[in-house]
Amino acid sequence: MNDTERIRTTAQLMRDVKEDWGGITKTQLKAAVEAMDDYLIANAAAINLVIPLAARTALTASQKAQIMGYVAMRRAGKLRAEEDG
Amino acid sequence: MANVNIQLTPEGAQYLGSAFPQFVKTNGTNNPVAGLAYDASTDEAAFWRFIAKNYASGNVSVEIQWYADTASSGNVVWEAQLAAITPDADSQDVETDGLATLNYVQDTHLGTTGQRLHKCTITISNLDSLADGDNVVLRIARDANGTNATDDMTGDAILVSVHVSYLSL
Repeated sequence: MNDTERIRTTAQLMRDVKEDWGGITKTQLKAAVEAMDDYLIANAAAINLVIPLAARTALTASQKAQIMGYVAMRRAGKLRAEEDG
Repeated sequence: MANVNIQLTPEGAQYLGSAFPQFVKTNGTNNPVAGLAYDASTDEAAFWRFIAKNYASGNVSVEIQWYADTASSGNVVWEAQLAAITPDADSQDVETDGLATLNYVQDTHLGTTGQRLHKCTITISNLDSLADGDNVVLRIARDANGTNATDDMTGDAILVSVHVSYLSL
């Protein structure tokens, strides 16, 4: 993401997640977003390799990113499935 | 000389078509809490109109009481500015009236409890030629992008009350 996208991600994160941010500042929160994004960029190839071959070759980069996003959202308690009732 | 005191509430605020704080009401454990939730990233503003009865002279004091929605540290920058029209004297179009230059204050979250109540005071020295009996618009904004000073508090700053005071005739 470019800097504008990272700024907007940080902004929307603060709007959506109504939880105590542990006393950090906006700048520190944005730095966390940047670090996470940097990590994804640096490890994109490795992340791609953990996907089983069939899916790795069949799926687009966007679909793989969405899988990662859904997994992360579920792990963060932010993704509710219809099966959850 | 005494002061004139005017209380303004979140419920009494007016807004432009965009960039305004959301009116929120939280059903607290024992009582409801109403407020205006100012965004952490986008500058947002709310407006109040009042009559400056018995205004004598001097600066206008604006006390803002607020609390943090999700933060427990950091700084918030509040801005206040006035527009004043003297009825029957000023020929100014009320719908196109401009605001005087803003004044601001930076307030720091005091920690310990995230949603504790804070207060800060903005001394408005740019008075737009304020006179007794003027029709006044007060604009209060959060300087979320830190134009005037560092606003680094995460999450919304929720304004719960505004107290305007000035020297009385």
